[in-house]
Amino acid sequence: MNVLLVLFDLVLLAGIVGVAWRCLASTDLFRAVVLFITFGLLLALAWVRLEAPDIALAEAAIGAGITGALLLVTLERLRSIMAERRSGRRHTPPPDPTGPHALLRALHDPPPERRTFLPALTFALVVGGLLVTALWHQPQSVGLEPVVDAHMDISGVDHPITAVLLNFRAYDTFLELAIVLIALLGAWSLGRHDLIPARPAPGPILPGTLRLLVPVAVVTGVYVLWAGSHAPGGAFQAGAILGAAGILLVLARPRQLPMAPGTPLRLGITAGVVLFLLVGTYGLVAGHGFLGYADAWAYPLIILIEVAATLSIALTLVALFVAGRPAGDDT
Amino acid sequence: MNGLAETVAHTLAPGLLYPTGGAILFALGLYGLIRRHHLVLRILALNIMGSGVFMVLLGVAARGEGAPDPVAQALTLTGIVVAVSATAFALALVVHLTRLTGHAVMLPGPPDDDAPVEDISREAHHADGGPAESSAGEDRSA
Amino acid sequence: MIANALTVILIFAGLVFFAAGTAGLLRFPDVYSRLHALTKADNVGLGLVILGLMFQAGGPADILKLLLIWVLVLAAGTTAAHMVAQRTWTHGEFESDR
Repeated sequence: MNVLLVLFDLVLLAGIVGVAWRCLASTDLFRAVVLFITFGLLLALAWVRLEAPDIALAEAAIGAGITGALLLVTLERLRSIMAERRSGRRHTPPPDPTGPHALLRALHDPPPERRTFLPALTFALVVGGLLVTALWHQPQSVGLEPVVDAHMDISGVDHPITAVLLNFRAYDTFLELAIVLIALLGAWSLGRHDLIPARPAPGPILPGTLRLLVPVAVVTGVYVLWAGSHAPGGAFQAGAILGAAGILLVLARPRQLPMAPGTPLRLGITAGVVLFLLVGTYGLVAGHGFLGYADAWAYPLIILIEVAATLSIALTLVALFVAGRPAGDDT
Repeated sequence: MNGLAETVAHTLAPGLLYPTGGAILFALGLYGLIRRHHLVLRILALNIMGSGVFMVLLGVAARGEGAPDPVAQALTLTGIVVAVSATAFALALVVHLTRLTGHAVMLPGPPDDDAPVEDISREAHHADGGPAESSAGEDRSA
Repeated sequence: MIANALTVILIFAGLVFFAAGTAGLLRFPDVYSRLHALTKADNVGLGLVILGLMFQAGGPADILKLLLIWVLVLAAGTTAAHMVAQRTWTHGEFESDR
């Protein structure tokens, strides 16, 4: 038992729980969101400690990065809706940020009432206590690691997590892509998107940095996708990196979004699910079972599905950030 | 004495320490979910509960000798992507609700409770007189 | 052996800069001086940590990746600091910061 490592674990866990507590106890929503982003980054550290570099990549890019951007833009939307309502005007563009400080009024949630304190505390303590007891009395088991290891040679890839995601349990991944698509359809069903409540930052700094960062992000995304067949990485992390690059581009010029042509956008967003379904159905017809591959074809098919899934996830994340159907799209 | 040292070592191994931390996060998120009213804070609480579940899964996967369980890790990866999609949809719903009613706060108890939150929605609707909006606002209080 | 010693020394030196930057972030009174402390100290701190890690790298590809990380963090950090400062300049400080 390494004392320094145990000390690190304890400090990290105390930090994670402490940040989560401050986040949930905050009356200022902006502060809560910033603390939540910090929480995600600390979690990424914990995942590295638990020998899960794939999850750490995904947590840093998705859990902290993209969720953080979504939360911040939501706060800004809420603020601009409330400001519009207070001033009695409707359907006006977001107020001028150089105007009076009215917009900077923070979004608040008053502290909770006292009468919910005891029931909530009792309930949380009982549930937490039961969970801890169950976990401490859980029998030791080797898990599924030996089984996965024994079948790696027929999976078509060299990285166990990619093998599980795209081959052994491709069902989960297929349904997951479907859920991502359904979430976007749900968001689109709420109407067309409004203007993003942000103004382009004046000055050359942001466009200049983006000119440097976006190509690097694209190369990194493709690299992470390709690396997924033999090392930590894969479609989800790559999709998140490309999606983050897309969100940065949207933020760089929020007033003049490049008009996404409807049909290619829809094709790109559904590419992952559609391709997965086609390959899966072919497997069914060819006698490998639904979502099964012939051993010789496993690698190219996995790469094909991963490319389509990356594209879909990246486009969907950007579309969820913009929220609402593309403007000028009447279908 | 030796037995005590063994118990401490067993307790502090990552395979037990992190699942315990995950259970604490889950309970903390549950507490926040019950007590806070603003919907964005409730979404944060749900996400913290989800992260607690991920921590339990990954901690249990890292138990014992050898490489961690890749199935649990793949499941967590799937879970993170599902969580961000669900969060994005929930946030879109919150924005829509705010547009309709003027606030994003879920009040405890029946809507005609003695809760001291000003309802901006009704004033705004009376001022506007828009039939579609007022019916959407009334749904909440009905 | 020497490489390990250099790594430890450089990373510790980097951590001192991080600690100084964090102390500034927590103690300084307004956004500008906080940014000043944070960006200067953290960039040097990260540079030292990266330099220390380079002695542990497995080859030129790893060294280049580490260097790329440093350059990217510099670019992103500079831009973020600039935008925070600019927003504060046009809007005043956030309510919760006061």
